[in-house]
Amino acid sequence: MAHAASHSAAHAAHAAHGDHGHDHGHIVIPQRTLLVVFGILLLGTLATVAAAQIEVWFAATFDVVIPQWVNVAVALSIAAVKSTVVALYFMQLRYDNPFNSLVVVFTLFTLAFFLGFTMLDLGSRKALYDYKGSYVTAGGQGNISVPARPGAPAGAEYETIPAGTSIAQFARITAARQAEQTLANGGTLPAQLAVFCAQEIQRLQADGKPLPPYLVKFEQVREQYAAILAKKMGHGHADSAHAEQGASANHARVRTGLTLPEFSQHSSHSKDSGHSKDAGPAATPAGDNPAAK
Amino acid sequence: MASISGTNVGAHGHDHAHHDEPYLTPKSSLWATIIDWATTIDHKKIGVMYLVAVLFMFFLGGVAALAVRVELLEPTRTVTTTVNGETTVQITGSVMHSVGMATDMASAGDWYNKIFTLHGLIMVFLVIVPSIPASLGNFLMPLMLGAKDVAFPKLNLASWYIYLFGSFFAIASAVVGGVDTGWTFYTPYSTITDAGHWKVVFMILAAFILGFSSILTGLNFIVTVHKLRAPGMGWFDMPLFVWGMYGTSLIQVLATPVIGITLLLLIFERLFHIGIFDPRMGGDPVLFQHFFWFYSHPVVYVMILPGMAIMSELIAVFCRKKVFGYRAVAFSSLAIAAIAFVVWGHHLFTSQGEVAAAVFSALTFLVALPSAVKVFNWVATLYKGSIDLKTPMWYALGFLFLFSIGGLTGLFLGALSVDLHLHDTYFVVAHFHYVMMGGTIIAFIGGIHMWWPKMFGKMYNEFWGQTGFWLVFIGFNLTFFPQFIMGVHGMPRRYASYVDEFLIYHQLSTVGSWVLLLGFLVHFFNFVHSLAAGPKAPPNPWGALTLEWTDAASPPITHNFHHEPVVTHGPYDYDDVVPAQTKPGEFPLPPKAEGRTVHVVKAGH
Amino acid sequence: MTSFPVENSGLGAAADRPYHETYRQAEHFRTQADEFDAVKLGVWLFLATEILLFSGLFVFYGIMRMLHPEAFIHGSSLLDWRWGLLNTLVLLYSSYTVASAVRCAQVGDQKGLQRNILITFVMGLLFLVIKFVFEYAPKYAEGKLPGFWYSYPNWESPYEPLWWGMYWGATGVHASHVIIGMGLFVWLYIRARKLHFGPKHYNAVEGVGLYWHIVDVVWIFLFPMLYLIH
Ligand code: HEM
Ligand SMILES: [Cu+2]
Repeated sequence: MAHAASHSAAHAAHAAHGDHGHDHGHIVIPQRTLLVVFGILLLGTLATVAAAQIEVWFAATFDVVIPQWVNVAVALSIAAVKSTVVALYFMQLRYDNPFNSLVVVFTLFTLAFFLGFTMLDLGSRKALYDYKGSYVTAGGQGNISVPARPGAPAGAEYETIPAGTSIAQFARITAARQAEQTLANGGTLPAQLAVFCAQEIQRLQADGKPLPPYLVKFEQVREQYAAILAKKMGHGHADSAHAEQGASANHARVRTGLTLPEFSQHSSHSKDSGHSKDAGPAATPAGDNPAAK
Repeated sequence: MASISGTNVGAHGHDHAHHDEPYLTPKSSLWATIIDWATTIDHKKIGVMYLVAVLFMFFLGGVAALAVRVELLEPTRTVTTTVNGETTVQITGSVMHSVGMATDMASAGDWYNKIFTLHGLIMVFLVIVPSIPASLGNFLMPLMLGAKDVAFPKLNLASWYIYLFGSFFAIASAVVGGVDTGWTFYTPYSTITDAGHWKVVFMILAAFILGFSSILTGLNFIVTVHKLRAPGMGWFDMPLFVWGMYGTSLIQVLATPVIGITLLLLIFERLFHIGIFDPRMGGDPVLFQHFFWFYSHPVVYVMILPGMAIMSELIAVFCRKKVFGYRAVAFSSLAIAAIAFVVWGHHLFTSQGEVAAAVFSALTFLVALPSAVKVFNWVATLYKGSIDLKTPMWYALGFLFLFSIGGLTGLFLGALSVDLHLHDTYFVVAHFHYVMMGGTIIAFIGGIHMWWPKMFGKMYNEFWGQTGFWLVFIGFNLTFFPQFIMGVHGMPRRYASYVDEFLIYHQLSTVGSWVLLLGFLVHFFNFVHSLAAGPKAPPNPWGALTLEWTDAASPPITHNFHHEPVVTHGPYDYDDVVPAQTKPGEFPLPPKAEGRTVHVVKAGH
Repeated sequence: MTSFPVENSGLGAAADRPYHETYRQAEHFRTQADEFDAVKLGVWLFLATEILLFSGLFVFYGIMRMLHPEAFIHGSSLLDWRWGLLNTLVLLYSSYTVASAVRCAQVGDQKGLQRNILITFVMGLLFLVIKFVFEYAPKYAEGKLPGFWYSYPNWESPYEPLWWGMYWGATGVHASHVIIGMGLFVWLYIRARKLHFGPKHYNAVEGVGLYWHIVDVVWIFLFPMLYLIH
């Protein structure tokens, strides 16, 4: 029986993996181990949160610019460690048939190829020929019909965004509309509208433009929203550097190495022309943006 | 190889429970039989049901293809004639128009778009992808491995119902008006066409659901290969069919989920406009092409690997020779499966960035290597084999010829600079038909012929089988070869009209499609005749050495084997083993047997 | 190595009805060990498909972040990481309890098994409650919605509707997995109450457990990607 050899070889291979103490060949992981693993996971979670906070604090305190990839790399490495621990112990890969681990490894390879090659394309557009990059109007050119926003004429199911207006800009137009209606009726603005009004005032004043009536009205009742505004806009106000960058900074934010032309372009746009125009030729591929890689 | 003569695999003396009846035995009443089939977890029945369904879908897709070809018999034109100062505008060359389905140019074009989309979608998602794995694969994998069933029989049944459910959506979308996006669903067209209608969503859902069916089949096969091989069967004692299916299954499991999320995102994009594929919101329409082809390139190997799997069996059995380079053929299946994942960008040469295009072009050439390894090994197996030119063998030879053309033209297309000219022309259409139809479908038909006696216990008529082959072979080349020439001359795909220069090619092609139709009809009636009045098949009519022939009856019993087979020889050891035959002397003696005891493996009954 | 580390068997009132009576090995497997390994391999292959299903969302994130970092940075700052952290802790704990459930089944601790399944279910519910009540609902009210639904005025990059598309898409697909998992835990709980599981038969517990861990692992990545990276 020439093939008997390969037969027993196959079974030996089978016996080789896993522990064949009882008829399942499966190990019972002690409760202690499970607890320790859980502890490690908690620590990992704290570490990634802490890392993010420390970075913000560090950048703010020492006024340094930490490149973006540091943040990404730290967060993702910790996540990778945590998942490995989960896979090895909770999911018992460590004690399991090695083929199961192989399945996971192949899966991760597949994912890596998917992400890697797709990024290769989208990150290298326009490398040789300009026309391969995309020229689009940031956030759309309007002329589309969207579900009705708050404050739309009663009964309207859809509204059409005017030509040349992006969805994001339309959000501001409808916000202004809603704020105007609410203030006219003597109602109370929801938090994000209050913030919007305050920001809008800031933007218009920076441009030296007159305030429309609803913002004037808002100025009169501003006190009412002081708490909200302090919470949502507080930090940004104090930090002149941020204000210069045009960021309204709802939250304290780390100064990253992000210097996308588009970013500053957009900010200046919104400063000097309110929100009537979109940022110019945007969708700049990250080829121009070393920070994003 | 010690004495294996008289291994008593066939001898048995145990109770004949009802599991010992042939699996096709009907139940007491028609209703009971229907219920039995609808709830069966027997891999053989599920395989047969898949076979019927896939062939039916092939028929539907074929009707669509014939309609496409007929429409292209003449270019669709608007002819303006002025007689006595009176101008009449006429539409010529459109069948849709002349049968009254289309009223004007635009609707004639619309019909054309919908029909070729339907053709592509049916053929890809409902025919080729499930064809070999789900029908022949389901039927044969456990038999070849000496197992009673696949690892998860209930999942297998689930996959069958998921397939039906998905087909329902596909047909539904056609019934409510049809989709005209092409089978590739490219954005932004697919997210905006027919806004407010559900047709496109239905069709996307259909493809999404069918993906699950495909995943379940693949998952089942992988586990079956790992856990249910007969005692004595090591990895390299498996028939090459199993290796091919194993590679296929790996791709199905690893690639199909990506089309799942792609189609889900496409549906989100269409219904909720999340923006990922919409440049107006910062998304990228070409990103969809990446997502789509990340699945769909590997999936072309899901289509061809099973064809190659069948090829290895056909060639070995009908040359009575050990497959040349068994391990090379086995590993090339895995290599194909692996490389398949890194070449998808060759479908986007004209749309992606040039750096990525160059990288993908280079990688594409890699995938030709394992495919060539297989072709060379098959050809080497022919050498000095005792070739038996039965219908399946003709199909094997047909495959070698057609797949080589398809594969080589693939290399032209993989060359970046050449593809910029050939992309979206008929050259591409011809290429993928040479591989999908000339490869997979040809192997599939050959495989159906080879395993027909095993599946249904009846022989088919050899003369009509071979007649059918020649009609299909000639019809196929007549249909698709002219398309290569048109393509090179610049005939774009997906157009209902063309300039006169292409008239002759289109007409040849359309006539070819009729010859093809004739060939398929011959096969169809041959099979029907065989079921009704064919002679009873012996357990091992081809004298093959794999377990489904040596150890199982034709058709097999419900539990496949009376005794669990013990593997005592390799699947292709024709050099020193001869299977027991119904007619002694029908098969040549093994060369090495001269002057020695002939090793005879008994048949299952 | 024949002795099996049985701790408290905890069979209680149903001790007279041994768990394994309900278990029959499927006949096409040669041994129970084969069946066990087969099921586990099947589950792992399924998990591979799950990972790859989520891969599409990770690529979505990666590409769009690469193209529009400013939108993603500002978008992220509009999320409150504390809810994300709380949810992470909830899921991690549920991962721990489900691992314990497998262990309880292995050692025949029926009470512990039932308890752990129940806790895991409750944790899943808690996750969803936090998600829907404290995250989805306010965002919905403020118009932080994908694409055409977007109406939040305080943006900094015109691409922010895209960020919200990613946020809702990724968390939505993840949440749907949590919901499916909860359904599976209900099923497990019913079976555990009927004492279907024990040292020789805990395939189902382990399989669902593995699925739940993957749901957790996906969240382990989504949490920093969505809430922390700035
Ligand atoms: C039965 C004989 C067949 C004929 C006569 C035929 C004919 C055609 C024609 C004429 C086209 C081009 C439509 C156009 O773009 O203008 C086409 C496209 C296509 N065919 Fe076939 N075909 C046949 C069989 C198959 C088979 C077996 C498959 C299996 C996969 C298949 C898959 C496709 C696909 C995927 C497309 C591309 C659809 C698209 O991208 O628009 N065809 N076929
Ligand atoms: Cu391809």
